Amino acid sequence: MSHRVVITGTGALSPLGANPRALWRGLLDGRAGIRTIERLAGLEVTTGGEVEEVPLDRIDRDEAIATRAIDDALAEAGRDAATTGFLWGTALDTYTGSPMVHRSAGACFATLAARFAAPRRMIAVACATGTAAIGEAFRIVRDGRVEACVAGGSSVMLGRHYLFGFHALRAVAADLAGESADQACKPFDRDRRGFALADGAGALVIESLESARRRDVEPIAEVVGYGSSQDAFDLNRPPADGAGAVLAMQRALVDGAVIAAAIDAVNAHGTGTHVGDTAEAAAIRFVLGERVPVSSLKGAIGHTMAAAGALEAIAAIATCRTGIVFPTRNLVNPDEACRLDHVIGAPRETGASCVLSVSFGMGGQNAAIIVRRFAS
Amino acid sequence: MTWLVASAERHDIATVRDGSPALWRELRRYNAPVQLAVAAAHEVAGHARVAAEAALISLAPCQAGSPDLHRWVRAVEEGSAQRMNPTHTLHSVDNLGLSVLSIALGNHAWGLGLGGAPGMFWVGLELICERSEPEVIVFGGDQASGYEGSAPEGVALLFTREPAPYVPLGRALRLVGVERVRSFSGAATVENESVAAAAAPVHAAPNPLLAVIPNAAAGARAMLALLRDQPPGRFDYLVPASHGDGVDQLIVRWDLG
Repeated sequence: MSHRVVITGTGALSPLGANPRALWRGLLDGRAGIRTIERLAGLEVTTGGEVEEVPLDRIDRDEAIATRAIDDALAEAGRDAATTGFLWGTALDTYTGSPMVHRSAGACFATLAARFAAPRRMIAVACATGTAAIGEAFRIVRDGRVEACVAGGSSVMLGRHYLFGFHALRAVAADLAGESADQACKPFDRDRRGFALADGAGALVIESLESARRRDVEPIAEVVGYGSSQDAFDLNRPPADGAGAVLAMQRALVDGAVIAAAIDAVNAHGTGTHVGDTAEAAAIRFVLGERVPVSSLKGAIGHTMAAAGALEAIAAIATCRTGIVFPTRNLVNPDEACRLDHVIGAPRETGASCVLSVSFGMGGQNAAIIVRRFAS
Repeated sequence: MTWLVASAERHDIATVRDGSPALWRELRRYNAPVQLAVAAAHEVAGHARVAAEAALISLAPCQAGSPDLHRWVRAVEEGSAQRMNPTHTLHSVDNLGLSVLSIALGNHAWGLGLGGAPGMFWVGLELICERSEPEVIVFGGDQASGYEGSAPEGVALLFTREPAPYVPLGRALRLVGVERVRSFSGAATVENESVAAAAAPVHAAPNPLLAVIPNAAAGARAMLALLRDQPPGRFDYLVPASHGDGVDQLIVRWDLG
């Protein structure tokens, strides 16, 4: 039996604040969560997005950030972890503190997961992790394998070693003389140079509609489709035509029995890397044409890695509920190769109620979900 | 209905390097658990009808990284390095094995990476039972220490929806399912005997999570070793706590021909 799947709770910690409302308000206002990080002074990359509400010197910061988002989502949904599954990504191992402490991402997950019911699944598909976690949770709730799950991800990777590593992979924007830190990440812009690394966590309670009704909880939004694919192309770059991304989006549409014309907005992956944005734009044009408003939140909060898809889903939900598409911060001169109906400068009131949210992981794992305004 | 068709285990990188030069050229840049996992997956993929369309489930190492990676991390943190080898950065990436295998097989199908938390191999088996693709490959690698790169191993299993014999034995091995019984209440004491008994050498550990060893590959290997020697009929494999997830008592149910 197939079940309708709804979202009944969200939690978000991002460089724009410690709850979903702060994230959404910041995106609408065009605020920047990216700034110069003093402890990185002297490096080629000194920009990033920090979650200031959790102290930087906490050794268990990875766990603390995730726990706060998870608890907020559970509280809003009125659910107990002991009766809820857990599909989560904790990104990569963290290296924090002085002297440095190495904390395993797997151990962090195990600690977070221990209080939850089965299934407890650690999702690991790089930058697509958050979206894949939501999609996989959607699949098993829809199939009736579980009543509800917390899904999402968290990342605390804003350290020297990851900055060096991703800079070496030409993914992170190095500092540029004369440019302020909050302009480092420019998704789809012709002057884009890469992303800014950021900490964050995003959690969603994914639940069957029957369960929500039984508990007399009003759904926030509905999840209607999920698709994933693999590029099978290259470890560091997607194919120029975004063929793998096309597959993931098309599979989400088929999965949700949603026609392309029903998609009102796209919450893009939009990292600000040269090849990534070009391929993504090509894929969106192929699947949806150029008529759909597109925005990326990474210009505002940076790339929160395993948390990115979950925070983007939370922004997509806000679009579904308000009908407003937020602007892509730092997008001033759209690259012709990335031509789309970009939302630039100010929020756009479109009445959007159905949003496609996409994530594309380094290494070629792609995930797409479709969220829709809830209507009983 | 799901049948185990083939399995492969790899413990020796030199064997891969010397025995499969073409494969080695694809793998040589990566860390040992990924090299061995993908080498094992290559072998079982050879038994698949259409490997390019098989669902892929990869397990990240519980002990991530490599000696090269950790040398860079130390140097960077101490300020003695201002650059980092991008190849060694990849050794920290949790979906590396999945990416490498999908590229090698030209596979665009559903695939999922499971992270380096203990017990994810059993989640992989649950996923196999949930999926509908005709064939599924689950594979992973691990090591005793990412700092030393010690005792690396890789394992891979190929499952099919249609009845087929397990290649090495010519017998049908049907995976019925995975059952879970919660053993860890979340309290800071080990109360369940089955968990505590398997917790050696850390019997005094207040949390059974401490009793779990890196098991992205070890758990699968241990089960396969027992599976091969079982007589026909039902076989319930009780997962040792050290190969579990620290929370549930896990039973893998098989029907053996």
